[in-house]
Amino acid sequence: MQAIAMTSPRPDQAPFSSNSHEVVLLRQVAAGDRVAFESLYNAYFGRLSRFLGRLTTRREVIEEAINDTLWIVWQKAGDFRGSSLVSTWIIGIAYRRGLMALRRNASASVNAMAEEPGHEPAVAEEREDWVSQGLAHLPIEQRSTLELAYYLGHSCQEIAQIMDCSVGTVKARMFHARVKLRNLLPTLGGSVTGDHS
Amino acid sequence: MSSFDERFADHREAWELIPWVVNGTATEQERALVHAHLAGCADCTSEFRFQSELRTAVLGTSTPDANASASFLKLSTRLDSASAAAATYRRRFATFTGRRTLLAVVALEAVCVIGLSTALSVRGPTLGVAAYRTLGAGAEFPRHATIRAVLDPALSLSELQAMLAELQLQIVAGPSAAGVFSLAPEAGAPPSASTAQTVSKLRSRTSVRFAEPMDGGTDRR
Repeated sequence: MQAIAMTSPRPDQAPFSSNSHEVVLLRQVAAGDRVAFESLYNAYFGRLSRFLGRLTTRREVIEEAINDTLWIVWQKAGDFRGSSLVSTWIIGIAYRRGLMALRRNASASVNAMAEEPGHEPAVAEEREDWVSQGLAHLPIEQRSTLELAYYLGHSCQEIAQIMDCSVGTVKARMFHARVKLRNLLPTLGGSVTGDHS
Repeated sequence: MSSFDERFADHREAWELIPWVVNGTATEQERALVHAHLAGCADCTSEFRFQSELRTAVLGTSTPDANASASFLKLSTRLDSASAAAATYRRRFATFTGRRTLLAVVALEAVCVIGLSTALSVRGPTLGVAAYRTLGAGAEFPRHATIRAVLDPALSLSELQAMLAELQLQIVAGPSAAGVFSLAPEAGAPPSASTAQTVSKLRSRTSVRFAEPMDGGTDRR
């Protein structure tokens, strides 16, 4: 059997700021420091754009959800007690604000943009496109779970905190997402690697 | 538990742990468990590879184009507006609170005054009037009377009227059971003499048996 890499350090930790640094920023934000707030905003803008972009493709809805999220962070920074990572707290707020924004803009859901299962995209289509389309066919909860795990690098427990559900629910969502993607991805553009279907 | 059951349980656990080993959040123990299982399970090895590739693909997908500065500017404007609104609200609340406090104090004072007045009116006879009387004093003497006098019973009405007119006096009460008249200056009459002088003039009359100022000598004019 072919040996495969067993460890996979969280690559997301490198580009993202450390929790201790973010805790300091958050304390400064709680004291009304606008400069610290802008630093925190910039640190999360890309992450939140990407995460919320899995929920909707409408730029104005994403921006609205991001600013609503950071607005809450500005107001509630003093309430953060460190029982979770700063990122878990902020992404959790963003998840809820994203769902609320989607409810206000029902037509903005990524699902509305996804092509129907069975549609065969062009062979030359970029891999990220068909992965994105595969994710778009998942229910929001499964899609968000996978995005939180694979893009933002959160643990099962952290995702449970973000999505305000049990660890068992996260595992179940991940299970169904994996099964569905196994079936969807070959349809959309062949297997990820071409050797496991 | 049979060895088959144990292997199946290991398989289920390893299969469930694969995403968390792939994203690097599994514990050392979990990673060891998955590693041990993969060595003998082709399905889980395939799944591990698929999830690793999927994660790589997810990481590789682009982030939507966005301008953080422009978005932050919008949020800053919102924060400024909220701060200004909060400051205005605080000022108005403080003013409102100040006015309300003033109104409350005035209302409280009014209630106290009304309550005290009511209490005094109810208990007035005992609170407002001394519980003792001098022998000469009497409730029958009007408050505006200045002189008490006892006249000769032989004094005719016309003589009395003439005397009162000369001294600019009027009878305001009496005679009492003791024959005492209460006299006061005529209404509207210009002060021509002090009470002491008037009393002195009364005393000089033979028809006046007794005359004294009502306040015991204090000159009211």
